[in-house]
Amino acid sequence: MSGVKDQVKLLTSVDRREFMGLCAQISVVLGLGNDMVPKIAEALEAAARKPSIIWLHFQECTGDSEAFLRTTSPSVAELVLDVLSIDYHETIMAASGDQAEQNLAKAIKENKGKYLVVCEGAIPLATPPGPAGLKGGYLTIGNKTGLQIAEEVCRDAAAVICVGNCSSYGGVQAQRPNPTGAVGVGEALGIKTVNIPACPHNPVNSIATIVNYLLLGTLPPTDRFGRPLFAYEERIHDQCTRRSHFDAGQFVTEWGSEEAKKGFCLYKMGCKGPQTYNNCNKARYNDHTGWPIGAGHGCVGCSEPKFWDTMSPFYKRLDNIEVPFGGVEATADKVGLVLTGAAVAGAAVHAVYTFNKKKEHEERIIDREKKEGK
Amino acid sequence: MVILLEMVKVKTAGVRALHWVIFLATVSLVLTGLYIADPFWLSGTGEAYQTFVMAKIRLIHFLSAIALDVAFLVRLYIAFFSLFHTDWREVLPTPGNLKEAWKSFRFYWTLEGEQKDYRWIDPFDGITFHLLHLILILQLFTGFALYVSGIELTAGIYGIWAKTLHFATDWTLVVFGGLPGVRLMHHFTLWLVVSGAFLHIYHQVWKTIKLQRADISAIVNGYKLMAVKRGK
Repeated sequence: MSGVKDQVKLLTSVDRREFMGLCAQISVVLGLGNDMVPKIAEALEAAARKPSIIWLHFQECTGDSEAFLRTTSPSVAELVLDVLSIDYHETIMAASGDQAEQNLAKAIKENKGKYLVVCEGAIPLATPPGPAGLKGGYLTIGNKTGLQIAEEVCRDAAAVICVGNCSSYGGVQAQRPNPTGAVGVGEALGIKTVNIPACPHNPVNSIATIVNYLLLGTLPPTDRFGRPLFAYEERIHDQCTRRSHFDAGQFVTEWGSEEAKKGFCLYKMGCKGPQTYNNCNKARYNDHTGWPIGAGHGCVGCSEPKFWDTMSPFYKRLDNIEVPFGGVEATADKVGLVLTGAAVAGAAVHAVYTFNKKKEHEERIIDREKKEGK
Repeated sequence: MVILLEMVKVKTAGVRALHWVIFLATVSLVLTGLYIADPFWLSGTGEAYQTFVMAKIRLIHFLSAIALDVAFLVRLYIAFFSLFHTDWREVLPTPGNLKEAWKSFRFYWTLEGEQKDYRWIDPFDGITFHLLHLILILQLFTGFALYVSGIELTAGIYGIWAKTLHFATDWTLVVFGGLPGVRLMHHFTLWLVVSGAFLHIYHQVWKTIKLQRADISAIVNGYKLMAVKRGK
């Protein structure tokens, strides 16, 4: 019996050491330094009631919830039971059906203007064909479209935090041709959101954003895509663990090769680190153990808007561009080579043509001279 | 028929020097640019700290870009304020210039037998240079956008420089759809520069042979031939 009790205790409580560890971790992510750790602890303790979080799912794969549930500092038990009050989360809540909806309504009513909304997934705006088609009808939960749910819940929120690329910018379902008209939550509602993109997002960043809000009462400063600067100010490339190999000109050219084993730069394998802003290389995933480039795979730029369109093909350096004639895809290099070839060939043809015509012209000039000179 | 030809000065030493600075910088930029886009040869051997192939080639690329940009700005100044000859009017696509350029173009395609002697930039070249300069300006902005993308907004003098560059080039991110788009544009414009350079060189060689006015020597020693009188 006592064993179960211990287990329950283990799940539901955090000792002082763990708690301070969490505060230190958050302080590091926010770039605040050691002096601020007590302040963070104070802010978390001083919150008379745990901050109410409403977590909404739209068009997505629940990958961001999965990432969130796998945080170890703090653990999910600490998060759910001690640090935050997650009042509504479709994946992990115990309630279902009408009871769940009542919980949502209650959370909105009780914490009006104070609760935080975390959104996961894109919102479709297109109208499905057919007689019953309504705007955004590609996603309906309990007879409400995703757009309606988002409007109702976000209207009275203190802040809206979008986790993952889908809720931030639309993600994979917003890729061309985007049949459901999917867009990010901020764009769908026309509001300013804090975006924590990546696929999935790194929970350290979303928790740090929430703590930043608790600590200072404001949301962290963001870049032009709504991403907090503490996490998205630097490019992957600039802090990359393989950067020295880039500067040395040592590149992997084949998967599984000797170079790949030595950990050379993945630039030639299509790594999008030079175009991607994120802190994966510092924060890392899975209990801060690994991240794509560390595991030997190039960055695909998952924290950038429209990365499926602009960053693909993922294993090549250059994007394909559409050639206006014929709708064929080609690389910039191919088009450039054709263009340069055309210039050289044109010059050659022109030279041959001109000098064949030369005699004719000379005769014409002599004729004219003769006429003018009588 | 006698055509009297006279050597006339058309380009000052400064303009000629600038032309060759721009030429060398462009060649260097194209070669290093192609390497940076795809490091197809030259790779570092040994430990990473022993070689800096990519870093050095990027440095050459940046230095050449600065040389090109400064030379371009100086040339722009000379175009407006030269004591010898201001030539900014000749590269503007004004209706008059376009009309003349059309005539030159017809001559170029052997549809018109003769072209009158132009002492300065001929109208066809003028339009070509205008387009080439627009391409170079596009390269300048997209290039600086890529350059400054890795620079944080730090404090101090360096921060002011980074902020200025961000302010001047961030619009390219909006126009071309983020860094991948800017990068693609920068890379594609390289090929426009290459094909433009080919056309420029071909046109000058062709003109020199065809018109017999030593046009190419103008960029080497500053003089070309002009017909001064035509008599029996």
